[in-house]
Amino acid sequence: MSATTQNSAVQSAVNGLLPELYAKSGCEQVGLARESFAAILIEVGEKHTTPATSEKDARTFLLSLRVEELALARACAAGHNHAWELFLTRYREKLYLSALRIARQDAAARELADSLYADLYGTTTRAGERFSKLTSYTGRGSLEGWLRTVLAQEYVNRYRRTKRLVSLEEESEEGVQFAAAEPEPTVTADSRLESATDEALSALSPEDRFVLSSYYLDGRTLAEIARMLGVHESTISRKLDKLAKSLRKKILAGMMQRGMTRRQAEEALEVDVRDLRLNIRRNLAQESPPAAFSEKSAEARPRERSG
Amino acid sequence: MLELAKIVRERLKITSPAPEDHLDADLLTAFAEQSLPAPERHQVMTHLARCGDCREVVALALPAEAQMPSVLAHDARSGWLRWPVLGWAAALAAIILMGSVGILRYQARQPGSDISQLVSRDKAATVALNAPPTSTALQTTARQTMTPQAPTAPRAEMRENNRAHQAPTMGAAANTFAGSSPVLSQSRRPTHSNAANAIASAGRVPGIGYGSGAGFGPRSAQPASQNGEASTPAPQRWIATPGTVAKQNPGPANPRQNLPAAPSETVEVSAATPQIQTEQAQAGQTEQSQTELAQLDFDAAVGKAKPAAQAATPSAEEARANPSAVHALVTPVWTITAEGELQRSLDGGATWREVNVEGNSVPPASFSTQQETSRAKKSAPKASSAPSSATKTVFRAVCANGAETWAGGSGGALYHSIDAGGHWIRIVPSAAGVVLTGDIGAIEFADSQHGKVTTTSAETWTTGDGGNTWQKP
Repeated sequence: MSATTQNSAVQSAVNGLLPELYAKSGCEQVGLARESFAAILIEVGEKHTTPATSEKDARTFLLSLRVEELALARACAAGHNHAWELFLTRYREKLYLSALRIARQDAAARELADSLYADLYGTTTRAGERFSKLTSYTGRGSLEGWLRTVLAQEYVNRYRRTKRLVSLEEESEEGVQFAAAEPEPTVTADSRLESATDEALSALSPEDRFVLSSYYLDGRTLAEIARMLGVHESTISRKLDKLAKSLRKKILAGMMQRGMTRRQAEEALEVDVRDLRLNIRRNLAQESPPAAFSEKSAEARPRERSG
Repeated sequence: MLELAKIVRERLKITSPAPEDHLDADLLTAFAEQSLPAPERHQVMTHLARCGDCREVVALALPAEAQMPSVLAHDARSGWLRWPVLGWAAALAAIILMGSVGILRYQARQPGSDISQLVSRDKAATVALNAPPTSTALQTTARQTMTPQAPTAPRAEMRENNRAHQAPTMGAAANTFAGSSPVLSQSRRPTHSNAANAIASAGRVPGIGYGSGAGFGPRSAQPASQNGEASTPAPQRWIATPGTVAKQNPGPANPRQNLPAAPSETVEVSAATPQIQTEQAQAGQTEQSQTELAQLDFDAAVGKAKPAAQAATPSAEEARANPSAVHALVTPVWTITAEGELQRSLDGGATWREVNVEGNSVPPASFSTQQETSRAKKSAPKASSAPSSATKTVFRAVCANGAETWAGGSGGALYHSIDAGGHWIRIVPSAAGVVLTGDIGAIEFADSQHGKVTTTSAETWTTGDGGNTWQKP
């Protein structure tokens, strides 16, 4: 409760809303005491607000929380048996199905789900205390979504690890592949082209950049990007078209500003596009089995380091 | 999608230094669920714009597509066979149905219109060919086209076929609302049915007629196109007075006799039976039946072979009106029990069920009294005088050729069914004034037209036109 002094707005908001939230959360069912629930709310509130947050904002924030799922998660973390039963009935199957969608192989999915269970149950001890991963759930999104996200994070971490091992082995064994991956023509791109591009990119809004990266770097489909952003696929499609056109225009303009003629600038870009096509074709030929998740971002890193 | 210059991709990568600390699962979840307030969403977006790992996590953690909110509902891939579509299909089918009924009513009022009807019935045959489940229809069509029909137009049969077309009307409608996919092809069939009858029979036999028109179409189309002029008088008379048809088939009283039988048969039709079995079974039965001939009670057989004409006529009309779906989908297997009961199996011989031949049969003379066909002439008076409660025919022989079935037994009882036993037509072979009255011991039909009936007294009757005319050597 030392935190209370830091943000009295949260404190008072919690006090004001506690009866309502407590009733909504169904804490009794999962065996969570009112005091502990209040403490949880304060903790969550402080984590996601700044000292400058007004009490009104704090209230809004607290009301937006999924208190019922929060209570369940925290009751599980605290080791209440009934809460665990409830949690397992509700989420066990979903968790496995999500793991399967993420890992795409039954065995891998099981392993992934099992390891998450272990984390959730809290076998890892921290200073002799059982620490459940569920403690870090704060009710900002659905518990189910959170579980999926945690699974995905775990998967990405692992994949990255194993991927590195595998690719090193492969590369040393198969010199061909290594050689084929090598001739990435480190574009001795005109520095003017480079800086013009950087300028154009830095002018992008985060969302535009997100869309662009998802599509061109991560190889996401339009549908996937649309679902990530909660918009329709056609919106993304239009956005991408527009972005590609405007980027081109801006880069050309940037290069001309830097003293190139229009023709020179266009040539610089055209050459580039052809390069890219070649590159894509070669990549496609190489990466015949589509990797579990985009290879590009993984590849990007080694190249960054080398370059 | 536009190509993106390579430099752009490259700079996009390079200028996205992977942040060391990733966003926590809470924020990413809330982001994906669109539940972050704008400022926070902007922060997360800024991070995601540069952090491939977190983008990866968000993408992987997307819920299964079915769970997505309604905004994205129309992302679903295949739009076909969804309820809305089926609903529209049903509505469309209903409109076509109504329209065709209207057209037919109009045609019915025009005396010369039967030719065009017949033409359209020919089309029906083509439609039937396209209809997937009616393989028997295909066979029938093939047979019909190969074997020319004798010039004596069987008017009785014509009419019956006319009526046979009516049944699918309601069947199609019923199926339409059931929402099954063959609906559209079916609903076209009513185009060649007579409107008055369509309504009359449809009212009485709801729910029957899945694909039944297919089997009948070719049969009626063939004689008609060959004997158009010869047969016109009768159909004209008949078509011109739809009211008489209605009188002949008093709707409310009679259906009860036939309705229970017909729908139950329809329900059973589902599994296809190999025809070989039929032939084997029937071969065995033919032999068996010959050994039993001695037990015949000749006189009783004559009496019982005649279906009760007066009582049976309306219901027989009924029967013709709904030749029903039975035959088109399945080739049943036939057998005759030691007691002379005709039995049919629709599941390849696993279960057997007695077929009520007399109850579902029509003595041809009973409703074509004005213009006798040769086969009906002599038997008509007898038939009408025979009591309806006569003892049953003892069957001795059965011969099936797809849906085309012949069954014969004591006292010259010979029945023909073109819908695999759903409905029967009493055939009384006669040649040169002599009527077949002996016990039939064997029936052999090489195809739907050419057949040979042998009696126990070693008489041999042959027909070359599907039982319309007979020769006795």
